[in-house]
Parts: sequence; structure tokens; C-alpha cells
Amino acid sequence: MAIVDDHPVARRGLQSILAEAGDIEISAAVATPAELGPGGPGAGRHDVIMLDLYHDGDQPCLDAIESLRQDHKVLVVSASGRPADVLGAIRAGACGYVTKLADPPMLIAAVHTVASGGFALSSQLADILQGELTAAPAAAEVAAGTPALSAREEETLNLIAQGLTHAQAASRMGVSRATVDTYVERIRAKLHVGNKAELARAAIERRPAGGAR
Amino acid sequence: MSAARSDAAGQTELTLARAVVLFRLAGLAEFWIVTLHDASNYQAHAVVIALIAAVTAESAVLSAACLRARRVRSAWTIADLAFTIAVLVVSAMVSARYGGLYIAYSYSVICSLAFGVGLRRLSAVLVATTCLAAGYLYGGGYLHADPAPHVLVNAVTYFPNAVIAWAIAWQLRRMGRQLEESQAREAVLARDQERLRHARMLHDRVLQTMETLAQGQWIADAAVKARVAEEAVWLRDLVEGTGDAAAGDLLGQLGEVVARVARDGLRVEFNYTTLRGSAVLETLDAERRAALVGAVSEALTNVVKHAGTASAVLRLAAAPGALVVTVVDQGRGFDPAAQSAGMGLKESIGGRVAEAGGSVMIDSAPGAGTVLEITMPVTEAASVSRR
Repeated sequence: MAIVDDHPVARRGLQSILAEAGDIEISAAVATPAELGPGGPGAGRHDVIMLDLYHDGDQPCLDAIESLRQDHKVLVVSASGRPADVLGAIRAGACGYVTKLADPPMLIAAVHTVASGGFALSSQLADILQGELTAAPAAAEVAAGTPALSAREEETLNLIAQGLTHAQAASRMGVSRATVDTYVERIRAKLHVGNKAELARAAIERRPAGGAR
Repeated sequence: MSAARSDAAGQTELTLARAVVLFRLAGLAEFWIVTLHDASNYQAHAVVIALIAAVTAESAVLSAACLRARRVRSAWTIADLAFTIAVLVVSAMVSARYGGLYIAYSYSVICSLAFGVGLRRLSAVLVATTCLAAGYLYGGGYLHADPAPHVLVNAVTYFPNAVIAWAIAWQLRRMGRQLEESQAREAVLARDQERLRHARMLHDRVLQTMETLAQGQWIADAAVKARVAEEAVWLRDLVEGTGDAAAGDLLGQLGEVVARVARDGLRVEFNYTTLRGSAVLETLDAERRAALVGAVSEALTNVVKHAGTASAVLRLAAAPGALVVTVVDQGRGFDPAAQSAGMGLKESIGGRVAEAGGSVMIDSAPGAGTVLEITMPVTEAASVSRR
């Protein structure tokens, strides 16, 4: 997998945590998404790209996610971020979002989930998704064509946001673990719906003027 | 901003006060010249000298007051108006009885300029000028019996004087205020930019390093590591300036609890995105808030003591008519049916929450972590309106 983070110490930290897992091979660790391109120091084939959401300045690198996801699975990592930007990252095609303050085991688990084609839905991401999708279905959501979440999907999101594992959520909801996995997969699918132009427009609409991260 | 305020508006007032003093000095000089020039015509020197002395003294008092206060007060202007009318009448009596020039007119014309500066409202200026003109008509027209066309022209002269002086003073004051406002805006802007620049630097350099140090095996001492993590959270809050704590005391107080257990090595993920902009937090009364903070504190302390895990999730979300707070850990858990294990939680958390009208649900099993769910009712209006 490749790590993209503009801060050298943070990059080194992620590298070290992932190396501890033993079964993760770091194929590149670079500062910018551009360095993963042909001819760059990080060129090559990566199963998973761990991408820092914010690079130069206040804007999340949604464009980079858009282009990297064509050939790779993208896991977004950010210590924090505006909920709308995190949602934007997921819509742009990221397979998950983890906070930099997450436990090393959680970070490693997220990489494994994404590598195996899953959606790394951390409790924080579930919280953000629920907050952005259900609290106020804004015009931008409608424009981007996101189908509404079903009651069961929202319940799943709510339980995961509380910190429950998929298995725990399943037992609370009285369904099987596989069913919860399906709900999570459907949530991701619903978020990815919408053509690119609409996504780009929604992303632009989401960028508020000014304001520190 | 207060410095800027005293600067522009204060400077304007001082300028206007100085103008009043200069008008007064000019008027006084004219009064002296006219009176002394005609002095030989007066038989009652004592009365004339007394009049000069009174006008001089009043001018001195007014000028001193203006310079001392660095502004002109409306009340002084009104008192000065009354005095000037009295001077007009008395000097007319003096000159009518003993012959000679009507000595007070040119003095009062210059005084009328100061009334325009000293009174803030145009209506007040017009009323004051009308009174002054009436005083002149009585003194010059009736007592002194000057020719009528002459008297009318003289009486009208007061008005353009006072009104033009008022208009200039009004314009100056307005410019002073505008200057002050723009200075205040600039100061705020400069401060914001400076803060943003500092925040950016802290974020891009210090915070990234601290957050990395709070992770992994870089720091061997667990207490130091926890401290670094806590400081990193604090610094991130500072540079991001989310201000969520201000939205409702509950978030701030829970944030403090989270920071406290972080010092004991428990990393808490604090999720409350769905509450952003919600009215639920503001309508929560102090008793329920205190019960929630106490319960969460107890629950997280329990995780620290018994769960054998370094992380937990604290989540706040709104449900119809209630605020739902959950504390979840993936630690060793316990059997809720067993007396000893469950008692502490039931007693200390359940009792406190129940007293405030809420309820507690505990779901745990050995080896399967613990879910603690507190449901605290809120007023209906609050739970319905979101954002």
C-alpha cells in the first residue's frame, strides 16, 4: 500500500504503525498525490492508498480521490475535518475514513477492510454520515441524487456511530452479521450514486468560504 | 477597539470644542472693541464695565469647560444661549437709555455659530436660533428701536450661521464615526488574519508532530503519551476554533471529562455530529445536564478501571423527545446478572439519571464489551426542531 501525507512526521508515524501489523507492505510513502503518478517516486501498483484529506491549505483533496480511485482503493485519513468534506471524500469514491488519532489496531483493521474490498466505516465516519445525511437533507444531497437511507440502514449507521462492531450491531438489530455487512455496503453504494458532474458540483457547493480547518 | 473609539470620535469632539472656544474669543474681542469704541458715549460706566466683565467671565468659564472636557456639551450650549439673550436685552437697555451703538449684536452673531456646533440635532439648533432671534428683536427692535428692515435682516442672519455651522459639525462627527468604525473593522480583520496565520502554522507543524507522537511506540511512558494526546486534542480544538463548547455547556463539560480520562490513558472518540446546530442541547436544563455529565464521567471511569481497554466511544444523538448518550467500549465486559459487577454501574449511574427523569440501559457480556445507553427526555419543541 501507499501512504500520501504532506507532513513527514505524520507519514513516518503511519508507516511505523502499519509496519507493526506485519502483513502490510508499504510500497510508497510520499507527500503529494502527484508523486504516485507515472514517473514519480511513488509510481507503481498499490492495493490501497492511504490519503491525507487535507494537503496544501484548507481544501480537501477531492480531485485526487476522484482520480486515484480509478485504479486504487483509497482510504482517507485525517485527524479531523469538516463533516461535509469527509462526506465529500466518501462520495468522491473513498472506501473509508479513519482518524489519525485512531488506535493502531483500528487503523490496521481499516486497511484490511479496504484491501479486501470493504467499506471501512468507523464510528466517527458513521457519526458524520448520519449527521450529514439524515439531520438535514440539504439541496446538495438532492442534486447529487443520493437515495434516502432506509430505516434499517440508518439504524445500522446509528449503532456503528455509537461504537458498536458489526457483530454487536447485528445482535442489537436481531439480524445476522452478514446482513449488517450488506447494509453497510448499501450505504456506500447509495453514497456513490450520482454522476461525476453532479458530484463535482456538490463538492464545490460544499466548500464554504473561508474558515480555518 | 476602545483605543480606536477615543481616537477618531474624540478627536472630532476636541476639534469642535476648540472651534467653539475660537468663536467665543472672536465674539468677545468684537464685544470689547465695539464697547470701548463707544465708551465715551455712556454715562453709566459702572454698568458697562459690569457687562463687559460678565461677558468676559462667562466666556472664560465656557472656554475652560470645553477645553477641559475636550468636547462641547449640549447643556452648556443651552445655558450659554440663555446668557447671550440676557446680554442682548441688558445691553439694549443700557444703550437705549444712554444712547450709542447696540453693542451686543455682533457678539451674538458669532455666538450663534457656536450654538450650531454645540447642539446635536437640527431641530434643537433651529429652536435655539429662534430664541436668540427673538431676544434680538426685543432688544434691538423694541428697546433699541433700530429701523425695522435693518432689524429683520439682522435677525435672519442668525439662521444661516447656526445651520451651516451645525451642518459642518454634523459632517465632521459622521466622518469621525465612520473612521472609527473602519478602524475597528481593520483591527478585527488584522487580528483574525494573525490568528489564522498562527493557527495554520501550529496546525501544519506542531500539531502533526504531536499527533504522531501520541500514536504508536515513540513514547515509552504511557502517562507522557496520554498527556501528549490530550494536548494534541486541545491544540486541535484551539486551531480549529470549532467553538462547539459554546453551543451548549454539555459538550464543553463532556469534553473536559474526555480530557480527564485521557490522562488516565483512555482514548475516547467523542461523536456528536448529528447534534450540530440542534436545539436539543440548549434546552437541556442544568439538573439534567449535571446528571448526564456525572453519569458519563462515572461510566468512563468504570471503563478505565475495569474494562481493560484503551479506547471507548462516547456518542450523543437526538431521538424523538430525548437525548441519547451512549458509552461503548470493546473491553472485557461483565455479566449484568451477577450482583457484584453490575451494582456499581446500576447504582451510581442509574440512580443519578433516574432522579433527573432519564433511564439507563446496560448491555454487556464477559468478553463482549459494554454498551451503556442513557436516554434523557428533553422538551418536545427542542427535539422536533433541528438546525
